[in-house]
Parts: sequence; C-alpha cells; structure tokens
Amino acid sequence: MAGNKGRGRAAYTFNIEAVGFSRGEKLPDVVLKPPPLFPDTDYKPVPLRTGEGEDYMLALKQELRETMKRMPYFMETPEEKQDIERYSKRYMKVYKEEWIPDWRRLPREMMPTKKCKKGPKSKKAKVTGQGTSLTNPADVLKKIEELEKRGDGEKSDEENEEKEGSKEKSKEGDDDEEDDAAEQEEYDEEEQEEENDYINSYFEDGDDFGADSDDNMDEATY
Amino acid sequence: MEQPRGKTGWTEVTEPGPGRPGFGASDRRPRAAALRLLSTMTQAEIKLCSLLLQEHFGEIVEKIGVHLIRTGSQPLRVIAHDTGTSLDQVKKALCVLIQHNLVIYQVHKRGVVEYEAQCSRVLRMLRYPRYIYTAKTLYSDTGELIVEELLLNGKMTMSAVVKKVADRLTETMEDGKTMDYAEVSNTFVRLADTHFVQRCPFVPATENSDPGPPPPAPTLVINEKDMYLVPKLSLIGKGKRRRSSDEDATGEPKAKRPKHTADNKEPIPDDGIYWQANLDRFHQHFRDQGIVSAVANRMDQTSSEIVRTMLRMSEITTPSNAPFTQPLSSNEIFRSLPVGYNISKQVLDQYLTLLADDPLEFVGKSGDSGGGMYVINLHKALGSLATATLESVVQERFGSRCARIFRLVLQKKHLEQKQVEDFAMIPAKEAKDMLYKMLSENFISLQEIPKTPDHAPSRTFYLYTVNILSAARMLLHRCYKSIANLIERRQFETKENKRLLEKSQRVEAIIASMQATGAEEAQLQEIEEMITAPERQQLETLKRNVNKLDASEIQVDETIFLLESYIESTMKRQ
Repeated sequence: MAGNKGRGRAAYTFNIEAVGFSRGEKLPDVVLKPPPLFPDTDYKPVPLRTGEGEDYMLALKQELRETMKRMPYFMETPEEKQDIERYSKRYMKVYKEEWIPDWRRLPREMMPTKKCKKGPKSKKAKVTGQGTSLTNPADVLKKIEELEKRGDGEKSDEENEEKEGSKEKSKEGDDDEEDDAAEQEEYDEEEQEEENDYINSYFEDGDDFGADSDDNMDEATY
Repeated sequence: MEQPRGKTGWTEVTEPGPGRPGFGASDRRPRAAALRLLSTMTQAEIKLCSLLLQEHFGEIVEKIGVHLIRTGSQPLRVIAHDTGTSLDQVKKALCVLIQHNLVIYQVHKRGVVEYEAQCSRVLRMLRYPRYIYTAKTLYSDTGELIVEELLLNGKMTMSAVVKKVADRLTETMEDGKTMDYAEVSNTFVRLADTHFVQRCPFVPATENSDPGPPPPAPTLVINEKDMYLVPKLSLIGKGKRRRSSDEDATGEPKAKRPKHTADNKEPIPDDGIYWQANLDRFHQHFRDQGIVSAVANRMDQTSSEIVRTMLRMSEITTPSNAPFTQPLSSNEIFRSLPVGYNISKQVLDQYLTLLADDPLEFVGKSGDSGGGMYVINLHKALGSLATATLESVVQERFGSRCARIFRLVLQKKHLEQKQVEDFAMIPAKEAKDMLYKMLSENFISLQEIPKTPDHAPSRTFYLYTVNILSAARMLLHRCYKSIANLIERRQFETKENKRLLEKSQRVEAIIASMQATGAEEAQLQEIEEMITAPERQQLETLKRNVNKLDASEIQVDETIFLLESYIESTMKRQ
C-alpha cells in the first residue's frame, strides 16, 4: 500500500473496501509513540498448572539454582567491600571444591601458565590453585628457571612431549605472553619474552592471527 | 525495536569490534563472514542466554559465553581482547563452558584453535528440572540423582557418578543404612541401555611413535555403536555419610571443611570415559508424552494407551526425527499392549480404525497385511500440537470470537475480508477489528493475489491466511522474551528484598550455630523474634511471587519445547 500521499490525501490507490473500511469512514488514529511498557490486557491469564509434578519441578529448580552457585564452575567476581563486617559472614562462607578439568580433552592453550604465585598476590585460591595443585611446585619452579636461563622454548617442548598427558605445557611463544595475567610484572615479562616469540613460534603468522598485534603495538603486522 | 531473525541471515559479525584501532575485527571478519552463513540468534535468545549463563556460572562466564554467541567462532586471544578480560579468566571460563557442552572447539589451519558457542544448548538449561523429574518418574530416586549429577557437572565418569549418587542417597537414608554401589550401577546401565545417558566423544588412543609436535587440541571421536557401551567395571562399595555433624538440614556448609582428599590417589578404572545426559532422548520422550496426552484429551484413555504402546514399540526402530514411525501391524500391537489391558482384538481394531480416521491424522493406515499396518504420523502430530498452541494463545489473548475467526482461517486456508465476516457470523466492524489485531501481532498474514500483471492494489485480492510455520516462529520468539522478562522480574524482586533476605539468612545461621552448641528454647525464640511480623509477611509475599515466577518459567519452557520441535521437524522436511 505504498501510495504517496502527495497532493490531496483523499485518493487511495486501491479499493479501500477490499480491506474492509467503507468510504469516508473515520480511520483509526495514527500511532505516534511506542506502545506502553506494560500494556493493559483485555483478558486475565489462565492460572498456572498445579500438581505434584509441577511442585516437584519447582522445588528442583530452586534447589538447582542454589546448588549451581556453590559448584566450582560458578566463577565469582571479586566482591565489593562490604560496608560493615558481619559476624555471621564467617558462618556462611561457602568452601568450594576445586575443579580440575581433564587437560587431555582440551586444547593445549587452555592450561594456565605455571607461574606459581603462592602468597597474597593470588586473588582467589580457585583460579591460581588450578595450576599449582596439579603439578609439583618444585618441578615447575625448576622448569621455569631452566627456561628463563636458556630462553629456548622449543627445547622445553621436546622435554614436555616425553611426559604424560596432563603435565604437558605449551611453551609456544604466545603462551609465554599469557603472563599478562600477572598483575605486577606485566610489562617486564612481555618485554623479556618477546625474544622467545621468534624462537618458539611454529605457526606464528601475523596476518592471520591479528591478535598478536595486541601485545606488540610497535610491530605493524600486515 | 527488536531485530527479528537476522534480515539477511548474516550475523552481527560485521560490526567493528569495540576500541580496536586499525586491526579491528571489521578488517578480518567480513571476508570470513561473507562466506559463512552462521545461524543467527535473535536478540531475545541472546538476552535469555545471557541471563541463564549469569545465573548458573557467574558474570565472567556469561561475558565470554555471550560474546561467543554474538560473534561466532573465535580464537582465545581475540576473545580476551574483545571482552577485555584477562587471559587466565577467559581460559577458566572456556574450560567451564566446554565441560558443560556449551562451547566446542575446532582446530583451523595453522594450528589456530577456535571456540564456538552452542546457543541452543545454553537454552536447554531451562529444562533441567524437567529432565531430572522425568528421570525420577522412570527410574526413581537413583535415576533422578544420576541425571542431576550429569547435568550439574556436564560430563562425568561412571565411577564418579556412582560414587557421588551413592553418597547422596546414603545421606537421605536412615541411620545405619547405606546405598550399595551395585544398585546405583544397575540403574546407570539401564539409563545407558535406554539411551538416556550417552558416552561423550573421547580422545582416541594414539601411539607414541607419532613424531612432531603434538596437535594444539585433541580431536574427539565417537561412533554410533560405542555411544551406549558401558565399561565393565566392578564398582564395589557403599555410599558414605559425611562425617561432620555441623551440617544441618538447611544444607548450610560447615564452618570447617576438610580439604578434598585422598580420592585423587586411587586409580580410576574408567579414566577418560565420560558420560553425559542425552537430551535428544529426553526430548523424544517429551514428544511422545505430548502426543499421548493429546490423544487422551481428544479421545479416551484406551486410545491413548494404544498410541503409547505404538510409540514404545517404535522407540528403538525409528530415529527420533523421522516423519512417521515404522509401520506396525495390528497383531504386533495387540501382543505388545500392557499386561493389565484386557481388550479384545476386535476392539483394538476398532480403536485403530477410529484413530486412523480422525481428521487430526495422528495415526495413519499404511497397509492391510498383518491385520492392518499402522503408523504414527509424528510430523503431523507435532503440527497439530503447535497449531493447538497457537489457537489457545489467540483465545486467551484476544477472546473466543477471535479464536473462532482464527480457526476459520486455518481451516479454509485463504479467506477474503467479506468471507470471514460471513463464515464466522460476526458483524463486519468487529470482524475487521479482530482481524487487524491478529494481523498486527502476526498471527495472521495477508496474501496478495494480483489480478493484473501490474499488481495494482485496486485490482488485487487480499486474502487472510495463517502461515503456521511463521506464526510458530513468532510465538517462539515471544516465549523467549517472556522467559527473559520472568527471570529479570524474579531477580528484581529478590534484589529489592535483599536486605531482608540477608537478615533472615543471618538469623537462621545464628539459630543453627546456637542449636549446635545447645541452646534453650527461650533463647532461640528470642533470636527468631529478631524478624518482626511485618517482615515475615514481606518474606512470605516474596516467596509466593518468586514461586509463581519460577513456575511460569517452567510452563513457558514446555511451550518452547513444542514449538521448537515442530519448527525443527518442519525444517527437516524442506
């Protein structure tokens, strides 16, 4: 019904009776604003179904909601400081079991880097604990020292391949840069490991993998 | 104004990523996106996914998940950059999402691993209570807990499930009694045999002689015959109660909890063999339930039992997305009727004839051998259920006269304005009003039939028609919006009363700890009175409202299931 309402609006381009209005009848007003947020309904909704099944499912749903919050999969955001320290908070703290995924089923890049930060720097035991609880901290520290000395990521890869599944660590160049999770030494580490990038990379291709450009803004990758 | 299902079918991927100077997403994406037709998700679905992820996994996982849903497949680094989240957190979030089968990964060329979200799977989280309750009705408490654990954890090994469920069941039993692992195992095997749980794809065992660097990500495989194969385990043991007595009935955790201990050191017999709930099988069950109850409503109990028997016989022989079941002979059906049912062969034949003649065509006759070969028309049945849903919505929203017009147009397929007035026997003015109301809400559409090649409006027929598929889609979209609204309102109500809720929780915690240390009744009474009567009233009202909102969510999800099944079944036909 795209008629242009140019000169003299009364002429319709089609037979108005076909759509049910008679000639000269008052047409409904043009709506000039969006519909109301909570429109009135003419008819009240039908009441909800009740019954044993429905009641059980309701209880299940609410229980599941609470349970999910306590599972290790629920990642908490750091809470804002409470205005008043509540005594009962001590009794309501939820101790979550740590969850360690089966690394064999996941891409290698998923493994957190093994910079053990035991101490007050780690925000939440869960997040960093994931890495440290899995491997022997002494081994890991040793490894890291070795690596930093040699600065030779490729060799450490070969060493890794000898070890069984879950202890595998991907030392590809970009993984070293993952330490930007470390709050303090962010910038320094990146600078250090830039050198490793060149040595380690099997597949680094700046064109395809535009993400590299994030961290090295001085390299124009095209 | 809401975006309807993407105008051209492309995703929103062509928008430039936020704050990315120069090397933005807009540079790379259009090339890739132009060549890929990704399934678009409407704004309503994305919003609902966001609410669900946030409620179940927290804000960080929600941010990552929603980002992936919006933008499609992306590698790790890009996700971290675009969402402004630390790499560590992105990794953990992705691990959680992958564990729960909400995100999958794929290795692309040059070793780049990309992650893709499964939006429809996220929406299934709404249905968890229904899955668990169904398991309860079929396999009682043991089955219920097995399915619950699998859903809560995404995937688990059989031994882990059996142990956990045995422990949980033991908690509920009387003192001194424990649940045996063998019993739980048996139920697990039954669930696997009937395909309600299935094996997850696994990492194939590779020989160590493989030279070169390991792949960036394992390729997971599973073939049809292994999917329900239960490993031979001899799980011996009984469930254990938790030793500490500080836990009280409200399930509050203890103040001191021993660290997760020694179980890690025992070798796991079925290591690497993970199981997940098979949602498709549950959906098949829901569909069958829907058909049976529809037949029961339309005809009688006996007919519905016959249909139920036929569906049960077809469970294994017919794939769940087939348009109709394999033909079953009347003799076979007679033999398979439930034991208590005493109807004679002739009566059965009469019922079958009646069912086959019914205009709804749930049952069809496909031949005469074996006393008559009958099939269940699954696709037609779903269509009828979807149509009934539409009719019901029209009736409840617009009134029964509108519903009459709707059913009329449905039946006659195409009608002119005048004809509607005549057939429905409703005065012109009202009929017009109703038609336009339904038209504006897209239950009814207009079909133009030009008389002349120039499509002049004065010489064109305008016919009202109901396009069931698009009306179903429209209604489905509204359902998603409804549930999102319900969740938001529930969260709002809870937030409004947050102070009061926290106070009541604190009081409960204090009472619990006082009870543990042995306090007198009078003291407990005093503590309870910390919550005043009007506050109790407020809490009662809150509880009632939250219950109502929760129950509504569950019921709307049933409609969603019906509509989605119908739409899926129809799309497969095309």
